Amino acid sequence: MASLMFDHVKKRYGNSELTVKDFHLEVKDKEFLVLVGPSGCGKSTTLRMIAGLEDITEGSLYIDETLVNDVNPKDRDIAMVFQNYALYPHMTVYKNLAFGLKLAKEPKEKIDVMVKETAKILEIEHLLGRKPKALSGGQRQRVALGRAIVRNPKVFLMDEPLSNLDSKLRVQMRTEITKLHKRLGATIVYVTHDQTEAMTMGDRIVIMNEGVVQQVASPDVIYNNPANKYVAGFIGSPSMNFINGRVIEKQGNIYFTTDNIKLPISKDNTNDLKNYINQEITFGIRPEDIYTDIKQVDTNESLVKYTAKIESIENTGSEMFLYFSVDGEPLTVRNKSNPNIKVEQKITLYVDMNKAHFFEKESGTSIKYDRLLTDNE
Amino acid sequence: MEIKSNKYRLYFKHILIISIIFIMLIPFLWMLSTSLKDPKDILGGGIWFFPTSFTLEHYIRAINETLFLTWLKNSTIIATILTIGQIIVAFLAAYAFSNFNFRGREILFYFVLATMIIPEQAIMIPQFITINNFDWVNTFTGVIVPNLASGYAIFLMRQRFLEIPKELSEAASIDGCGPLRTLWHIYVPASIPFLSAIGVLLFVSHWNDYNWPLLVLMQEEKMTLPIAFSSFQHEGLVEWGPTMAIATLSMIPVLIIYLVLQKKFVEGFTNSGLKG
Repeated sequence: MASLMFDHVKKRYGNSELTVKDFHLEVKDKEFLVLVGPSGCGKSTTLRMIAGLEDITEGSLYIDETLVNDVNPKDRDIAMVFQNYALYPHMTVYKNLAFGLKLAKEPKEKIDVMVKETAKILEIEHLLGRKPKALSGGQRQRVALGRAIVRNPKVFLMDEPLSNLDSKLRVQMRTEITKLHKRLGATIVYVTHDQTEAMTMGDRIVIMNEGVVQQVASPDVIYNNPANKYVAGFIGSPSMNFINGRVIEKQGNIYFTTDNIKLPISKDNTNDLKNYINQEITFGIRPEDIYTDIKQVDTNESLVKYTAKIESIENTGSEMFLYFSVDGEPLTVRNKSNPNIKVEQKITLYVDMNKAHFFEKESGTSIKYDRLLTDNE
Repeated sequence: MEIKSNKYRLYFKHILIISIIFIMLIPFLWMLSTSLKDPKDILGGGIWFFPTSFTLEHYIRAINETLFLTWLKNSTIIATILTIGQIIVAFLAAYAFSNFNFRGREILFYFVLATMIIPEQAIMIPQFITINNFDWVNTFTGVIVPNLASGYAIFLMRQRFLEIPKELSEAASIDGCGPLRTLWHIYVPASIPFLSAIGVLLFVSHWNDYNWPLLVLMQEEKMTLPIAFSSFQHEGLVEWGPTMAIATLSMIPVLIIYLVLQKKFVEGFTNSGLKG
């Protein structure tokens, strides 16, 4: 297995703007790295640059300390799983798996052993004689994975491999890929637009937008300490609530205010906001950090009460999402399912101000980010 | 009522189709019947073209008095080599046009298309002078080499290759294939049905080539079947019986190939959206 090093890598198609702007990152040996972002953010391009399917415009890429900018895909010792599987339609599953080994001139007996072993790991032994068109989506996905692992490459690249599967199968394959990663001890770079996949599978997540890396961190850090408003809004479903307002100071206390609300800043956050007094900022709070019942919370030290009218409700069975409007901006609250809560009802909300996030209005940078980062260290 | 009118419409369609088929078949039937008629009946039979007499004499003469079997061999060699050669060139060129990004790709492809537009007659003389410089006049090489690349085949093959998902060649390149191996292991197998169709189309067209072989091949024993039709045409007299016998015999190989690959042949026409 291997490490990867991106040294200020940039990609431009023709004379257009940069598709990937200054990608600088080290992927550790045996790491499961997930690149996530909306379509067109440059994540697939980055993956294809690792594969050698796209040229690198500027910067250097190293696989195991070897510069690979000008190395052919076949000489990089990588394997890739494609979104549409890209199985060779005229070959049986066995031949699909054996193809790469055959080209590498491995002896026939060894190929046979490796193919059968891989088929066993993925439980596709009974499919070896079939052609891809006689397989279901899930089976094709397994074969595509098999084609990657059979060669025992240095790095696995996966380009949205689960996006063509139905949701149930996707959950199942998610677990299997994670297990496979542990079992093989492989270095995996995985591209997805699905934040759940990113959060559940990755050791580290790279969030990209418009060709720029927004944040690289473990799922936990990404969720609890987003580097900016983009990351905060992208990860989490339903996404974080944002309210624009102003920081003011009154009698030694600091408040976040809009036309209709005035929220006292909790002690923990006071220091962060001292430099922003009388400035416009964006306040952010996750839907699960607002409660409808004070009993749900262990500590009420940092809770702030706010009464609002429910505009609509989405009930998923185990929980419900309550939608409000605060100063014309939408506010979502995640709550346990409760048949007594009805639309149009006025309800008291308890906002946990300790969990609040604050972002600079113009740049979107998180105001708490640096402090939390040091706290974690 | 509606069912009835649909039925009439169907009858009408069938009658129309049968009439068109009949009109197209008449020359063939006439050829066949002339080749089987007694020489006396050929010119004296009026417009009734079915043979009233029956003889294989013309066929025997065609085979015994001419170099028919040599011509058959010549036609087979030339048409086969041209077909295979054009397919190989088309594979390589189409792969480059569909998979490689290079400067001037579009312009080059327009040039390829232009070869389909320029009539053969327009370039015949310069082409003849060229092969003369190579000393290829009156050789099969002279007939074959200038025609080894077919714009038509390259165009059709490129359209086919564009339909093959790019991920397949990317997967192959990661698996260890260079461009030629990708072509051989991925694109060729994926195009086999299409390949047989285009192969038949090319073979038939080279089997019927007339102008260029006529110009290049001078000796009787080098000729191909279409130019050999004139063997029984003398000054002021055409011996229709043996001429038609040669025509009938020369159709047989093409007919066999067509019948074997009929389904794909038709597919080839329909998919190309072009006439052969």
